Amino acid sequence: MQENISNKIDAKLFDKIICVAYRDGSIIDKIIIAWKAAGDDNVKNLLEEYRTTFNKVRKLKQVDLSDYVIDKMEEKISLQKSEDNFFGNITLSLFKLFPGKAVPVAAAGIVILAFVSFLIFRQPVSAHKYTKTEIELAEYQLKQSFAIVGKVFTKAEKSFSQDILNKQLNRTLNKGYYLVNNILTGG
Amino acid sequence: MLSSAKFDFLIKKYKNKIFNYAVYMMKNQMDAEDVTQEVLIRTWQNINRFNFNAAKAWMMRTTHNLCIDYLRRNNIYSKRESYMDEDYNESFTDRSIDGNPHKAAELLITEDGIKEAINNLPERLKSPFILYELQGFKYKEIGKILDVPLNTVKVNILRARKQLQKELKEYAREYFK
Repeated sequence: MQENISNKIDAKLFDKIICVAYRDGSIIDKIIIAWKAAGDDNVKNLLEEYRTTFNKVRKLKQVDLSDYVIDKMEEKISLQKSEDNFFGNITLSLFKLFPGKAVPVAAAGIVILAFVSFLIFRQPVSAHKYTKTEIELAEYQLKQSFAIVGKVFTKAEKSFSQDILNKQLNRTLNKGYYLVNNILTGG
Repeated sequence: MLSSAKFDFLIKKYKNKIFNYAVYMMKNQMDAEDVTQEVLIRTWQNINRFNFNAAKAWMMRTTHNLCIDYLRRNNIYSKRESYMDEDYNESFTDRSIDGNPHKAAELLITEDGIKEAINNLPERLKSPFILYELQGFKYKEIGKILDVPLNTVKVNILRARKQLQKELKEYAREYFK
């Protein structure tokens, strides 16, 4: 039956009918199909057939996932979760230990934390004492490093004043003067 | 703390979508539950790795891949058995209906009948059809989930609609034999 209908209706129109039936077609397609369905019973029947199926498909109920699947899954990941919320869990377990005394427990926690941090930061940092030979060695090394830096600077200054300024820059300047002279004297 | 909240939100929003898709793919509620659980665990493990906006597509792609893997592993992917869970699919035909063909045809296209017809679709047509018609995904999203071009998605959905209609007619024909 459908094959016969399909023979009478060309493939493009058939696809359009399906799209319109599934509320997926453009407005122009909808108008064309509605107009064709009004004059052709085959188109009309096909459209209704697919529309019925579409309505049934849309009414299909979704199955809800049982809670025990979620519970099982949460059991499996609880280890990872507890690692992530380590400090949060400590606080939570404290509150669970002393139910109904949340404010005093929190206050006690803050006081303990403050006391511990005070103890940690109060300890003075022990200053290291250097020996005489260590100081002398450090001075010597410092002098050496300054000497190396000084040498590099003098070398750079020399090459700049001799090579760059005298030779390369002067040569180009002279050329320029020569050209200007030539132009002015008309040579 | 933030990742926990993110995870809880994703579970609430997508658990049923994942499960329903898995039910259609696996044709079995027990296996679908296993797949769903695995997807949720993987989501938790990767919660900080993927973009929150892309989470939906990521979860559905993982579901699809797990279903395919599971079916292949159990060697039922190629056989395409049309076995369905007893809880999930009850017999939907009452052949003693008073000989009225219209009534009988109407009865045949019940919810379970359509579910079975959808289940009989080949996998490449079934996946985009379920995602589009039942789960409400857009063509572009389906393309991302199934890793196929947009046009392929459109063509496969159209083919699935035609095939579904054919399947439903087959039921009707069998009924009147």
